[in-house]
Amino acid sequence: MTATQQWRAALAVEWIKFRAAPVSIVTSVLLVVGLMLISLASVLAVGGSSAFAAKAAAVSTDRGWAGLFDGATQISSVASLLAFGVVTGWMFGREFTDGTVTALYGIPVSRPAVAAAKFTVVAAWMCAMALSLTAAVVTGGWLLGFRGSSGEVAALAGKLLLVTLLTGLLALPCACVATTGRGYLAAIGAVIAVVVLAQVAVIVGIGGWFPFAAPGLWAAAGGGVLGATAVVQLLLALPVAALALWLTLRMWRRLAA
Amino acid sequence: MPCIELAAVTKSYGKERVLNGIDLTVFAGEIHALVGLNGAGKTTLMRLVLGMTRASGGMVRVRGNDVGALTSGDWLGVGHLIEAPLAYPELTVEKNLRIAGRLAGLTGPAATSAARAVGEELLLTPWWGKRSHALSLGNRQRLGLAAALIADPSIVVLDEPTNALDPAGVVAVRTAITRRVAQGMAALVSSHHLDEVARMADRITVINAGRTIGGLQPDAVDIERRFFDLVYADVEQAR
Repeated sequence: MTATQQWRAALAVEWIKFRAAPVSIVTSVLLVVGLMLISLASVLAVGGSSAFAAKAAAVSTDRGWAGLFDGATQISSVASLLAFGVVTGWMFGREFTDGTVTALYGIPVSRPAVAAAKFTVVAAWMCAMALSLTAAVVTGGWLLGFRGSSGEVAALAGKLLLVTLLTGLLALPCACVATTGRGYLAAIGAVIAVVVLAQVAVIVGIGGWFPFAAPGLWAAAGGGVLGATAVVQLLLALPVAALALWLTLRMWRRLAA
Repeated sequence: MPCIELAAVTKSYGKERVLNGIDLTVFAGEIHALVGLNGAGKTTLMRLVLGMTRASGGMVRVRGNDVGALTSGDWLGVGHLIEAPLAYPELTVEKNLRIAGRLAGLTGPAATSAARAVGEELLLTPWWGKRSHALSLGNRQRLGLAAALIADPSIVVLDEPTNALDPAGVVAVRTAITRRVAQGMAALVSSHHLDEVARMADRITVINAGRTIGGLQPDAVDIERRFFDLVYADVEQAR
């Protein structure tokens, strides 16, 4: 089998596993529906006097498209990181946890091909999630009758899409953690720790240079034009993801059962 | 040329030596059984053969090649079941077997038809659409064996293949293995069940405390007594 044939065989296997797994189905539904409902609730609470309205004012300040997407984008920067981290960790850790990792030895499909297939499925799912939750928020705003130019809505939707995709890149190190920790629980713990560390980084004022906090800071910054420094800070997600990919493939090549 | 060959193999985990000077061969068309008490080193030996861990010393060869130098393509035609069966809990028996077929190098359509054939052979048809988490231990074990045999391997390594099986399952597994061995497959099999080993194996090697301590004739009378004679003699010698 060529490397491509191995990857295609592994991709078929990973796709069968992924689409049947409760963790991927439940996470997908919770992320898209949950994010849309919380965003709608936040924007509808604008101007209210309830305790929830006071909390919602932190993410949604305008009862319109801007308020809706500000809330959705800020929530996505945390919720997507958690969801993507959990699923990535599960993808790369489940064979260790289930004890089926021995089946990935002594076969004509290499372990790096299996890992590459896992990354492919996870990346495709993250893109589908980013598109789905953006479409869900647009649909929600449309159902609420928000008015605005299509250009404004497209810019806001594009920012939500981009922030969600960036958090997807930042979730990829969970593959390394699951491999090193030989199970998905290590990765779930790591992604929770990263979310906490991102909050701490923001509080102490270095959040922009902490890659896991940068998308959230941009989400909270409103609709202003991005400066060159902020662009560099956001693009730090790329080397983080590239390093995670390289390290994970290397670990899967040298993996001992 | 042996399909599997171990020469003076040692394996240590830290200061603990779990295999010590193992010599063993498995040829095409034979079943070579390993018997020994729990912790004797049978599973470690099989993990070495499959490249799951590296030997501390000696040589492990598959089809004449050093196992450490094998590429993924060299594993085509090798089937195995070590420890947990390949059974993803959320997938049905059919999907688990299709997955096993793809990982064994079959194309999609070939994996589908091979899954059906090996499923029937190992009596899995009644549970075809059932998720594997709902299977009994014995059915899950047969699923793992079906996964190991799905691509009609020329070499198979099976750790305790008849574990948890009912009598009908034992016969089905024995038939599936011996039929393939008659066609030239080489089988390295470990077992606690001496009667089962006596029915199936061409050669039997006894392992104790990480060393090969002798062999048993499969057709010998009272094989269980002979096994314990060897083990007790080894224990006495080690004192």
